[in-house]
Amino acid sequence: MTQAEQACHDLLVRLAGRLPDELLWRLRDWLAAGGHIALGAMLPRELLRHRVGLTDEERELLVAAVAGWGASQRLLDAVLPAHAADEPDVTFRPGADGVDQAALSVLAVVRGHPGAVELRQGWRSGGRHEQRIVLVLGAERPWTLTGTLQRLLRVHGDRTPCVEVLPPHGEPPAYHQAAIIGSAQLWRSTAALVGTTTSWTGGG
Amino acid sequence: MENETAPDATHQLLLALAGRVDDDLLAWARELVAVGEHAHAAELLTASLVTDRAVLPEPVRAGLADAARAAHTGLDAAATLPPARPEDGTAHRFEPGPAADAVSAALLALPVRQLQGCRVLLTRRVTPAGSAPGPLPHPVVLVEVEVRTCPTDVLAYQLAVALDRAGVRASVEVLIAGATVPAYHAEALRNAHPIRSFEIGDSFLAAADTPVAPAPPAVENAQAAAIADSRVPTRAANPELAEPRRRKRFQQVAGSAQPAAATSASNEQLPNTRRRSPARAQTDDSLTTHMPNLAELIAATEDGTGQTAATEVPAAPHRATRIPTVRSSAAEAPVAAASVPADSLGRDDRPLAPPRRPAGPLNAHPALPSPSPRLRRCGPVPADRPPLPITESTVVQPAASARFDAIEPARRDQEPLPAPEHGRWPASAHARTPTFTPLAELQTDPFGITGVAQAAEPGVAPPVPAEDICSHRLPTEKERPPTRPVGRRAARHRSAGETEEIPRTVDHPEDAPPASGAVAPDEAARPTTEAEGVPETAAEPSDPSLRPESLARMLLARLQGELLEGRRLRVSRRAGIADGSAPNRSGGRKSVVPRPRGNPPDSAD
Repeated sequence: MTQAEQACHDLLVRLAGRLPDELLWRLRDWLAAGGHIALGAMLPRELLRHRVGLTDEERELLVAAVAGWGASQRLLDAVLPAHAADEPDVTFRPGADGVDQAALSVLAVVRGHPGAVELRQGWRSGGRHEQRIVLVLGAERPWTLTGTLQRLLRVHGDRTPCVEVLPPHGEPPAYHQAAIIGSAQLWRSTAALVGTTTSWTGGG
Repeated sequence: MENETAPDATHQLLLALAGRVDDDLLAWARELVAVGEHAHAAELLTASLVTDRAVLPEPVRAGLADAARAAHTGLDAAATLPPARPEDGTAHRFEPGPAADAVSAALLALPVRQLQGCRVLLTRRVTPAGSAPGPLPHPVVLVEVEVRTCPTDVLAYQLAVALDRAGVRASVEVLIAGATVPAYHAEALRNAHPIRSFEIGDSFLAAADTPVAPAPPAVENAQAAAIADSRVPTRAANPELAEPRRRKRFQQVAGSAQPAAATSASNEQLPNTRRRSPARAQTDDSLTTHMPNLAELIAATEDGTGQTAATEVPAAPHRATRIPTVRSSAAEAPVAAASVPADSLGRDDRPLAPPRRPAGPLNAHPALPSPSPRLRRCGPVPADRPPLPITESTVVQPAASARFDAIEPARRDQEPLPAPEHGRWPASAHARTPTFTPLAELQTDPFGITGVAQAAEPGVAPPVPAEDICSHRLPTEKERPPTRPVGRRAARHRSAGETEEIPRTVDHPEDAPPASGAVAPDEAARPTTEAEGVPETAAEPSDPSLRPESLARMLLARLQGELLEGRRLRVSRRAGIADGSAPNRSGGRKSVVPRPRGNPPDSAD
């Protein structure tokens, strides 16, 4: 079950910028809340509905995640293939120097989460308004941390929280590379750099 | 959810789920329902509630399971949701909040049309909703609709979008006034304060005229009441009201029989219709049956006049004033610049204009506006198109001829071929003879048409039949008084009596006849003979005594002229190489066309 959740989390991380924010945060929330049946029914449908193509590696993640959660095999087969992941045309900026209440709350949670190494925050532009992007490098059970941070951000008024919990190693997707470059570091744990068991499996 | 009862069932389900899911998900579901994606809405709601393991009362649980099943979501809500549990009230708490804040201002700034027939209240929920709630307190806008003018979910979606665009985050719950509401909404209504209220029938016109300015709610209600008193119930208030209203109006137009007394009486009924109670407003369709004059009242109000439809209906007097208006504007157009200013005579024939007007748009030939064919046929003579002398002469000119001048080109445009004009030439010529007589009395060429005007010597109506000899060419020019270049050709065949009294102001030397009455013919014969053989008919009666106005003599003169012309043409063609003074036609043809090689000129004649 953990592998399926990890695969689903990795897939949902890769879908950042390719699915609408208002949908993606819910999928991640359902994953964090254990809504596997909901994910098995909804994730393939939403991929088809938004015509999101998956690479072979992403398709493997999808099958590994939701095949055991009651997903329809017909829907899984119908998901569009893609040679490479789409690179969303968005830009990131670090934002103001000050840290608001939401960032402080996120920092308080991330510091106490096992395996968390670094916390960054940036602002994505390209839509109607700028969207806060929270980046966490390294965390155990990243999907639970994602759900927690999302709900926390929603309480602070972020209607579509974007929390990207990445493994501390490996090459992140292009979207997250740009987000890391265009973000500001809020916190970094030097002591936790060693011992992180989760590694980035994707090549971007 | 896709069947006939889907909207009501979905609306009731969304109302029942208020407070059980987060407000954003509920708003999203309403948006999906508003745009017809019921299945997607059911998927999201079911997935969220199943994930949250929400405990629902039996009716809500059953409704959700039915919706999920109908939408083929793949989620078995009945099996995955926790068992139902009855509820006693709601766990949510509300408080009215401040009387004036950003949400109130945004609500007051909404278009009145959106809130027509609605009562808007605002409250704030102080308890979280759903598993991922937003910040608290959360504003909840309650809209009570008296009559369902549009789907409630659509209205909720539209208002939510409007508030979102205004930068306000709030939930919108649309309720049917008088209907049973869930405990969540009942609690919200108990702790809400009104923002604005509009009765059915008011405010549609107010929305167009007076933007609603943000104001304290109490003041706004007073304004709304004032607007409601000053407005007439409109079609938008109740769409069912519109159709009988139109029917009434058309019936009046057909019959034009609504007495003024009835309209004034219906005017007096107007305040009563506006001040009807909400309960009465719900029966607007019966209102029209009990108030037969209401439709015409509203129709008159729509027209923006304060008059009733019966006062506008009389068709005959209205047209009598309206059509001349159109004609006068048309007379100012360049095409009809030659027409006489509207006078009493001309007004009789004004109805001729309507058949002429659609000829333009209905004409299948795109290159046939009225002036174009004439210019093409008569050659490039642009100077004759703006006939300035015409406007000067039209002061005294009869309107009939002027109208003929204005109307005839359009007919000619539609009939570019001269054949039908030949056929009708004699009759039209006789018919126009009286109209040309005043022109001849003026002894001017008001149209700049030398040929036609020349024929209009005061007492000489006969010239018209006299030209029957050459009716193959003349009738067309005679039929078109405005075409000056054509008139020049016609002058070649004029008798001396016709041409001598016309003061020729034409710049063409061939067409300029001597204006000196009886002495002229001798002198006029020379230049015309020199120029070309055309005016030789005028030169034939060399003796002034031989210039009577009788028809026989003119015929004889014309025959002789034809003989001379034929002789001269033959000679000129033979010697045309060296004839530098040859007229345009013969000289031009001679100089340009080497056709005689294969077609000898003599045999060609």
